[in-house]
Amino acid sequence: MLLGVREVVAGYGKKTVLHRISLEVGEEEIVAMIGHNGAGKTTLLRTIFGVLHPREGEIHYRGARIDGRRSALNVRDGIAFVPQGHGVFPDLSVLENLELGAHTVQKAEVADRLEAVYSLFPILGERHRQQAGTLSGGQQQMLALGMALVLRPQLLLLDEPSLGLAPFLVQRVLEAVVEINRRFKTTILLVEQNVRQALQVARRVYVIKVGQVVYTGAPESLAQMQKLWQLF
Amino acid sequence: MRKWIAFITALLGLGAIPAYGAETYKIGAILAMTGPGAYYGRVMSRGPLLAIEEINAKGGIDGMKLELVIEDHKSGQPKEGVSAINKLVNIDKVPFILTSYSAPTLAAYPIAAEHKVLMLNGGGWSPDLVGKAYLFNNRMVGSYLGQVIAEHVFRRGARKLAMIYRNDPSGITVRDHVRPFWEKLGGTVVATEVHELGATDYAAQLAKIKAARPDAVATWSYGKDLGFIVKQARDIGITVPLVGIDWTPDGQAVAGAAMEGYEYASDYLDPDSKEPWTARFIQDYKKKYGEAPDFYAANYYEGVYILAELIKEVKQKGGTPQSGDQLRQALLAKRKFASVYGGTITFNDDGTSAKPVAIFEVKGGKPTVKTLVK
Amino acid sequence: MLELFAQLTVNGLVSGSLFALLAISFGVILGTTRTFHFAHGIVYTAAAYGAYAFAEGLSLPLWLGVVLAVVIAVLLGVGIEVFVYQPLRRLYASPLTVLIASLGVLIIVENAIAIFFSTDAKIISGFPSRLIVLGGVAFTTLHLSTVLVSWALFFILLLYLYGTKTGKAMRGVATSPEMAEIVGIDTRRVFVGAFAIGSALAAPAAILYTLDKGATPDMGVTAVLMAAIAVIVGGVGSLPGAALGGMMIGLARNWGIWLVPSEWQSAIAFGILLLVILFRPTGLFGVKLRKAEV
Repeated sequence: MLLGVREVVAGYGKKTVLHRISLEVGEEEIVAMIGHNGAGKTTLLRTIFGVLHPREGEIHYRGARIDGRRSALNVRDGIAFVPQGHGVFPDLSVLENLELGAHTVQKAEVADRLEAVYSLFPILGERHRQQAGTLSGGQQQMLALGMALVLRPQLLLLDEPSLGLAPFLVQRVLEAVVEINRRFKTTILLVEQNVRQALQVARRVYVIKVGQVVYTGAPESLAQMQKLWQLF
Repeated sequence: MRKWIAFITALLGLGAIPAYGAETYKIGAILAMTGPGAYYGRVMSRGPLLAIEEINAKGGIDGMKLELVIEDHKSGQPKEGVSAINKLVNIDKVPFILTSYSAPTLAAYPIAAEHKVLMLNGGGWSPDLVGKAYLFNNRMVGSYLGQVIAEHVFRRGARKLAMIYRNDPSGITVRDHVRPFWEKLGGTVVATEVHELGATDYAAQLAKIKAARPDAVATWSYGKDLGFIVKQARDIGITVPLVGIDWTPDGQAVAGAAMEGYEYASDYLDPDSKEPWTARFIQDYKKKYGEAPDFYAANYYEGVYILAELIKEVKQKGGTPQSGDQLRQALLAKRKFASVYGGTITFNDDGTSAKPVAIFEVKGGKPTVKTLVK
Repeated sequence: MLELFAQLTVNGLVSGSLFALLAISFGVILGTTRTFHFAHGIVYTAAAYGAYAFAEGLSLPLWLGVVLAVVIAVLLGVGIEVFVYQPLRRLYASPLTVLIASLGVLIIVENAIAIFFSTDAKIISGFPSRLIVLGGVAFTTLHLSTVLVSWALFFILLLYLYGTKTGKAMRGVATSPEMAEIVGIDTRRVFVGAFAIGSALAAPAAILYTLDKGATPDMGVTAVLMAAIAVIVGGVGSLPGAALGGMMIGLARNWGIWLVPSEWQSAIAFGILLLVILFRPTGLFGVKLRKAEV
């Protein structure tokens, strides 16, 4: 087990969003979290990453507790986070974005990793001088993924990677996710609104409702899928 | 029994004899002890302190010792001048005050007049200080000095004059006196610029003055301000003569080499004087304070000796020297006093006085006498 | 007339360069940390008085006085960040509270300097300044040095921000602190770095000014106001904009006295600010500040 979340309570100010939620992610798995808006999926990702700290509960990563730590330490230990809605530095160029993504990477390794990103997303290589804010939505999302990739993370947290993208781009992104997991053996925990897309890539699914897990499993049969729809 | 009565009577008799020599005569001073003009407060207090030390060492005036009470008007704030005189008059009950700077003196004057306290100014040069019953000046008035130096440059051939002056009564009145004076001589004023006390950036004013192409530039400013003006004038390429009515070592330090050739009209204290009192004063001041006195120190030193004379006069006539009114009458009666400049100083009815004045030129960082006036 | 214009232009270029240096020193801090560091004015003043105390008071060589003044400025600027702004940020203080605290620090330290050194202008000697006259225009070697030093420092700063890893990280934090957190940049350390750099740049500006026109305890207030105006005019987040804003103010102040009495010099800068705010609020090269996301 790479990541373990146990009975975590977290929220913003007076509002509690996660009510003693628990889940697990195994090495090299692709796990999806689905659920309504406001169910707490993004909050959980942020709590795991460390920009939000839990009030109760524990988070374990590679056998050690990481809850309450500054996120920079988690980045150093191999956790990358791609936030919702094109997490890029809009005023900087594509190359500068990737360089900042590689901020914690050893100088000697950076060139190789950039090459790997360009091979996965050639359009980034073509436009490496372009200001990130002027890229299309899909390109920005690829850039955001690229920025996480340069870290060669062990655990990749994705918040709605297909949000706002045209259908063919969504395909591209999901294919990239699978490719990342295959090529780099990266464990992936992603949040998705769209159940169908989530099921395309994920082997296991957590259904989150009002800050708790209400279902987990790898739905193989249609009947199970229907049950899923009901819960959702 | 009779022996006891005699003994007790003798004891009582002893008690009736007044204590000898404990009486002190307090003199007030309102000076610039803090702020941009702190230099003046320093030298203006040193003069009187030296004079009092000398007088008290000789036993005081008929056994009465002098004491100086110094108050601070913070480099010329009228409000502070009023606070100062209130304290001196109500708490220290001084009949005589050495005052400085035009603005606080003018603010404090009504209180002096009301309580009949005699004021002697050795520093301020505003023409507004003239014509006040309880105020006398042993310092030459600025407008007079301005005219002296203006005439000096006119006689050397200058016809176009630029002026820069300090934005307060002393600067403004000099401007208002010299301008018509210069025009009556036959010259024109090509630029008039103003500055605030304590300002250090004169680039704007000097650029305008330079563009007006004057034959000479006159500064009605003093202290460090003068130093900055002179330095920046040379730095901006103004090569014509710079003249004024003041010079201090503080300003010299700021201007450095730029001050060479600067000329000014001022009360004339000849540092190489052979007059016995002048030479002795300069020597004693140097010994006590480690540097030569300027004429400000001399004015205030002289002020104490003038007061000493007045006290003697009043006592001789059987009056009370603690009365400012009687001191004033004595001054108007006597008029002429020995001056530490050499010779005598004569007071006029309107409070002005006649004293040696000279035009100085700065050579090698020090003022040297160029010509004597009057 | 042409001669006056030429002289005013030269004056404007010199003081504009100094304002440009001041503007980028303030802009680095504002752009990176979003803090309106009004107390930057007193870091400026402290550097001037530090140089004065070492070079004149202790009679150390001028270059040593300069180095020590930079040290003092950095210590003071970083100290204010660590002991005043960091605690306020932890408590989620409003920008107004931070501004008032900053103003408070400025006033307290300014008064301390006035009490300790007294309020008359202090000069630093030891810079041999010669007069240069070209055509009808005059300036000194000190003025020339001011222009050279200011622009050299500007380019060094740009080299740092665009050519080094930590410099790029600082730009990242400036443009999006949230994204900086996500890529693992230690934003707290970057903030301290911004204050250190900004304060270090204020020191030479203060010393160059003092060598020319002396130091007074209130010099910092005007300096930080002009710096802030330059940054706003040039656009927050753009250092070239800030430098240009500084040059504009320097030139405008000098050309302006052609038309208005010299007492109105300071008002000219505020006039420009008003125009810019009315017609182009983000400044000439402004980058819109983004709200916190993620």
